[in-house]
Amino acid sequence: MKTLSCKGLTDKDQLVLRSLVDLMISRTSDDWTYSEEGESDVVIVDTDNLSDPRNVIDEIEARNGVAIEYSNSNTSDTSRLRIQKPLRAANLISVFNSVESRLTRGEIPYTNNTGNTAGDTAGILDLISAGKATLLRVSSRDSSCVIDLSSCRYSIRGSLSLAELLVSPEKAITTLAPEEPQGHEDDWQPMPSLQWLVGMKLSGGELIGNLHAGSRFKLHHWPPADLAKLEPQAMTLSAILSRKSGATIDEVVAKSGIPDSDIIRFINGAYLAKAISIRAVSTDTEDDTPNRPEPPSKGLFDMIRNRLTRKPR
Amino acid sequence: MPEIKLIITGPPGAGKTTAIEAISETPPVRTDTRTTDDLSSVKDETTVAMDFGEITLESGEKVFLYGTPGQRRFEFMWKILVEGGLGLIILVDCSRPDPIDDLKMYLENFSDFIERTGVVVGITRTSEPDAPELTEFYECLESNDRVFPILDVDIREREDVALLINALVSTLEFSR
Ligand SMILES: Nc1nc2c(ncn2[C@@H]2O[C@H](COP(=O)(O)OP(=O)(O)O)[C@@H](O)[C@H]2O)c(=O)[nH]1
Ligand SMILES: [Mg+2]
Repeated sequence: MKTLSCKGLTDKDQLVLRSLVDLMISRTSDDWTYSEEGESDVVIVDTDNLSDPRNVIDEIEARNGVAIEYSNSNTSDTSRLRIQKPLRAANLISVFNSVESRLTRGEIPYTNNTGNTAGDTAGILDLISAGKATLLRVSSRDSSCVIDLSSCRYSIRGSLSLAELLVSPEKAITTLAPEEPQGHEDDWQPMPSLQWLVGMKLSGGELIGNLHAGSRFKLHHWPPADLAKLEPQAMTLSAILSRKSGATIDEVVAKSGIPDSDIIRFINGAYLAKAISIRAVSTDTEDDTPNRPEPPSKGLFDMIRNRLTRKPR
Repeated sequence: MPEIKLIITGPPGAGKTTAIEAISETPPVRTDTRTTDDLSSVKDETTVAMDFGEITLESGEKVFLYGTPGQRRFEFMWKILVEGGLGLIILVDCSRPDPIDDLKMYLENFSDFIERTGVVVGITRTSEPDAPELTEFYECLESNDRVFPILDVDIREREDVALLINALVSTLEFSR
């Protein structure tokens, strides 16, 4: 059962809508019911009658509802579903059928906003790594972001930063069809480490689908500099995982003292960025190079790191 | 206790002096002279001998930063300079005609030292229209079993220079 409501519609349009919904039920594959208020699955928004339709739509999408624009004009710069005035049964049915097909294709909404990210968002990483999700919308409260993974760029609105939004417990994630224009094109921000960051931040404590915790992982390239600035542990993890024979998660824990949940998140990020692979168990040892001087003491490295993170002079 | 030193190398104009200036506690000892050869179109001054800077650790020990002279006619000095060094930073400038070739040349010239210690590569001016992708630079490392960090940096920023040193230190500590 899905619920439908409206915002900003004239009394007359609301009457028409109610009667059309009754009519529609037999024509669409799902059951719909009209709800007077509350948070319905789908909201028809009369963008001509509202002073701030943008805000109303943002709110609906932030809680993972589907907003349908209802207006006189027949053009739109967004991928949002829309109905042109006047309200006609045929238009309504066709829009509703596409709402349903999007829902069954897993496109909108992807996750629910229960705050339980563990299971749900791990699924989105599997979709991304399978190449089935390259364009995402992530929303939470007043913030919304379109993430274009294939071009390593994003466009964000609201008060949260990208990293904050990705870990927000109330976030809702929607996958978008790549060919759809997003209406955000003017303010794309490039981010070389976007895939890596998304993989890390959307991890729910488990490795991406086909990776196994007992495997030996080897890094082919380090994360771009922007990630290292956001994630201080990235340098240590990269160094261990880029050793000759790579490392298992247990070995990384032993070497670095970093908790395995953080290591798993890092590996997921590296996997989405195509920077890591599985190594067959290797018999070569790390210290087989002759003439290598004794490494300086760990204390020295820690002191250099401390000194670098201190503010300049 | 032997002196702790990091070596910064790379072609003229890649940012060796700038990097040392950004991170050093003392103003670098500039040995730049006005260029008289065809480099004058690239920059007015270039490092002909070497740059030098230092940072002091909490123990009172100092880490010295040495910039090598960029031009190949000073190659003979490179081996002397790296002697006893902790690790190497190679800067590669994407505004030069063939930055990939530049990287290969420096990797090869310092290969013994890199094998004994470690290297981090800083790619500068990556916004140049013809700048290669980072993955193309990584292909230069393929003969090496250890994957060294290659980071895109703005060498004028202290934070970016610190990141390079941090990556190098992590490599030295964990990736032998
Ligand atoms: N516009 C621009 N200038 C840069 C960038 N990176 C470095 N530079 C400049 O390039 C020059 C590098 O010179 P220098 O440090 O003397 O190079 P060296 O010969 O390797 O010592 C300096 O003037 C820097 O300010 C960059 O990303 N953009
Ligand atoms: Mg110089």
